[in-house]
Amino acid sequence: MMKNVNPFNITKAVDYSDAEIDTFWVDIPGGNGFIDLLKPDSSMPMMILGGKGSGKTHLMRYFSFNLQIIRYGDTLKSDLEKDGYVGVFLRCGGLNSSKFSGSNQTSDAWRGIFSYYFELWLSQLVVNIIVDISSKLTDIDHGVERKTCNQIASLFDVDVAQEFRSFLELRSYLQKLQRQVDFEVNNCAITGNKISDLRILVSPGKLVFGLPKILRESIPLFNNIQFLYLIDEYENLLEYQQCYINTLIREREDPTSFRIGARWYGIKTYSTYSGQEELKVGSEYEKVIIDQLLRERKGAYNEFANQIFFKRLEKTGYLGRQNRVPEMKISEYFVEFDLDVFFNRLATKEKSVWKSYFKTLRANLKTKTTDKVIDKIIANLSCDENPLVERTNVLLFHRAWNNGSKDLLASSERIKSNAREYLSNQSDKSTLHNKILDKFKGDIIDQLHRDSREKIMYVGIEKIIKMSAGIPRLFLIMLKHMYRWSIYNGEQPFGGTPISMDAQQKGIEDAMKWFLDDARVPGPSGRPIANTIDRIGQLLHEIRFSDVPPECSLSSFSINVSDIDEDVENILNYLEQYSYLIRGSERREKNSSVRRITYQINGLISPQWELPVFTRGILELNSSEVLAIFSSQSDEDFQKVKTERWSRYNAPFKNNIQPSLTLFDDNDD
Amino acid sequence: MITMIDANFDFSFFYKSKYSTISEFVEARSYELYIAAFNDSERVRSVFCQVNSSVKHWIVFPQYGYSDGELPSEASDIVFTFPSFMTEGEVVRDYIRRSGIDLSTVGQICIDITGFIRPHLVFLVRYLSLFDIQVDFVYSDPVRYKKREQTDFSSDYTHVRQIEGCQGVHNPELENDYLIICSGYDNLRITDVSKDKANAKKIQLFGLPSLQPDMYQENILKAYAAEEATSNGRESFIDTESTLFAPANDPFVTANVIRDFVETEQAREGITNLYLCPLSTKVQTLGMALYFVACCVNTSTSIIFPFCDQYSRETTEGISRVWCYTVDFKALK
Repeated sequence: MMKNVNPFNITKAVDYSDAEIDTFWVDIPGGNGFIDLLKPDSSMPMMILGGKGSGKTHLMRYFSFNLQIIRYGDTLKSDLEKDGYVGVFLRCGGLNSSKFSGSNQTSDAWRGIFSYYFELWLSQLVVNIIVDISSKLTDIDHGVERKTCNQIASLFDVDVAQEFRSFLELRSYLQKLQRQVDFEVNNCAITGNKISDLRILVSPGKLVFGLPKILRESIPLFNNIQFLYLIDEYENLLEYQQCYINTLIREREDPTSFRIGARWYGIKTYSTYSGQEELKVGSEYEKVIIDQLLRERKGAYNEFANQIFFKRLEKTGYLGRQNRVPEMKISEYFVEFDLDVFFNRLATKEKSVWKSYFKTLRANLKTKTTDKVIDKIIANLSCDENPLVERTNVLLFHRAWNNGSKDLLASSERIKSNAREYLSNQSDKSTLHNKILDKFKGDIIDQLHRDSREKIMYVGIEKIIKMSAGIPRLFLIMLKHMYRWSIYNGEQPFGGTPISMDAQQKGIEDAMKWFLDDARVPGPSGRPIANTIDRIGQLLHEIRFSDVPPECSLSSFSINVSDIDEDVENILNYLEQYSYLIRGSERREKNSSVRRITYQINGLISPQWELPVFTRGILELNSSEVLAIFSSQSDEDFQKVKTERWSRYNAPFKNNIQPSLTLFDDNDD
Repeated sequence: MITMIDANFDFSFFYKSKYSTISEFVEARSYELYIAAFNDSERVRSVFCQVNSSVKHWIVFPQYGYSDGELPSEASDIVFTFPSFMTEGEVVRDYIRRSGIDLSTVGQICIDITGFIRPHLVFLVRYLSLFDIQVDFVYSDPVRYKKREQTDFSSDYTHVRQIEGCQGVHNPELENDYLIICSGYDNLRITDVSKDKANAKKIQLFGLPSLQPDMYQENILKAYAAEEATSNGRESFIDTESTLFAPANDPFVTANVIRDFVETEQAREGITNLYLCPLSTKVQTLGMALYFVACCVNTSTSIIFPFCDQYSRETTEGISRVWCYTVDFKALK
């Protein structure tokens, strides 16, 4: 019997070896895929930003030299010339860059030491590649190597010609210089004394730009090759360190270019040391936000996720198994939500439990009318044969009440008649019930889940892909946990039977818990940001599950641009950059000059507040709500605005304001 | 590849003594200088109060957030406080300077590590390793953690960095980096440090036997919450490849276990960079620090730590045993 292997166990590019990166590579559909995105032979530098798990590292490693040689095999020389670039991959995490700060040194001293260290570090990576190439090709003979080393020696500010005559010796020499820096820096951290014995032997940029230039001039193989510095994990650098590398980007010299990979929030500055000017997007660098790009290309992302799914199944042997149903679609691997099954389950429950909305309604009507009339109203609204219709009746009744109906009994009778009309011909789009269900069906089904104390269902591949919000890692983490639960439940995932709703649901819960733990914002900003997203979630939840929700499929909100002060903007930026929120378009209010920006809660955390994944309605936050949610230290202000909203949308409707409907349809964009 | 200074050092060479009660410890030992980190723990205060020592120093770490009115006020108490902006190196150096201790001539010295903040303890060990000195490290076992596995230890996380003095000479090639975490209950910190060295293979060292029998299960339950960050895509959470065990109250076995693992991996595939992170008991933290000073100085090894601005003043209840670990730093050279 074949051992069960979770095809989705690896969720991070860092956990793949170079060979596995190549094996599991999936390109984005359309054109030349990711080559068109990263443009490795273009000299224009690029910032590749994105949420955690959006695929930056996978992408950058794919274009690194280690992957190039795997792809080339025996045709290294010709393929290298064809590609026109060598990818020099550097993880900033390895630099342990925070040690270049504090310890009684001046900021100028640290700047000088770090730039020297970075120069030595990056040069070693270039030299490693040259050593590797020269061991594989015969193009570089000893004479060329020695001559090249002599030229490289001239890049130093002191005479180092005797230190190295081969690339291997050059590597050792650079290592030795790096060790000297490490020793001095480490020593000053113990003693607290200033660094005084360190000699900086090469000026900033000399090796980073000079090495490739000399290699291009001395070795024919590199005549048309660009040295592409792929600098990943940029967020790990301190601000002054980023400033230094930004300066290198600005002062870039052929044949080098840069691709910088960073979390969205990871760019601490765009400043340079060239007169403190900022790097200019468009003319000095291009910027790509990878998950945003994947979200915008919705069809392409769905296809991309589809391909990732099948590639994993293929490489872990699931597609080759005999009991697999041939040519199954991705959706067939997952049980979809079935309304009839849900209704059957409701039928097994005590009515007093799942029809709790009648109990609430009765209590609310007590002050308005007699028990006898209440009985009649509830009888009119009841529809045992179809819980969806019954719940719709209750919604319509609350609407009538909210709209100021003078005769609620008559209203309930009209609703009863409308329900009969709907049940006699459900395909008739003109019935009141059909109009309501067209917009609120998902909300009403979720309300029935809450009423009956059932968990709201987040299942089916379409929802799973949507919940991943253009971030492949979120997609993989959900699948990883679903697989685990499926095995735990005794199912045979990907072995012919689809993954149950229970396993899907629990897998999503685990993935959500991981996200909430993982996306914590460090430092003093952490708490206000966590409070803010929770308040937004709570408010949307209260309104969604109110008696007369003003919007359908509510998981988005909008803010008037003029309400966004510096503090609010900071929090919104954090929430967006840590992928809690997804920014939508900026729109103008109807018949007004007011501009509003829309944000949607990330689908993966929607279950935290029982919000929908596919969004349509948008909650328009007013100024006092923005203040209470984003800026208030105390929870009291927030509870106050929440209660105000609650009483507006719940019987007995103290505020009695006619709701307006704004539609924002996921399927429209 | 990493080069160890003395990969064969046997830490079990050092003595450790167990005392069933504080009185037993007090009767057996006396010192010229006794240093303890002040917090709300009865374990720390009782031992400090009763121990025989010519001079006793309280170190008050700013991360516990004590106000002036809450500080020790006995006439005999010598208290050292520090501003919150000071790093672990600055705190220890400032303490040594202000206390006027001459580590070359100080007599019998004992340090109660029970209430120490981990990075400060690691730096202190690194600092002491510069001297030919013998030190007793004392640790009191708790009976239980206050809220069992739900106990909060640290908050207001800021960032991960190398502990001062324990910064290595690292290698630009990162393909076989390792991160060994002494994993305790503080799962968020396990996640934080694992994310910081995302590319490293994660090895977790758990305290077994634990301080009390039920603490092992609680520990595993908590550490599992960080599984996504630590698993490296492995199928199982605990396996022979990625899990180590050492007694939670034995620094010397802890150091030996880490040493053996590193030696084996070195021989097998080689290690490009090694990171150590102490997040379990203070005793295992001591073990990790001793391993570093004996085997890793000026190699591509660093001790890293997820720094936080606040720590709980007391997380435990009761006192079950007192341990005394005698370290001869001269022997580590």
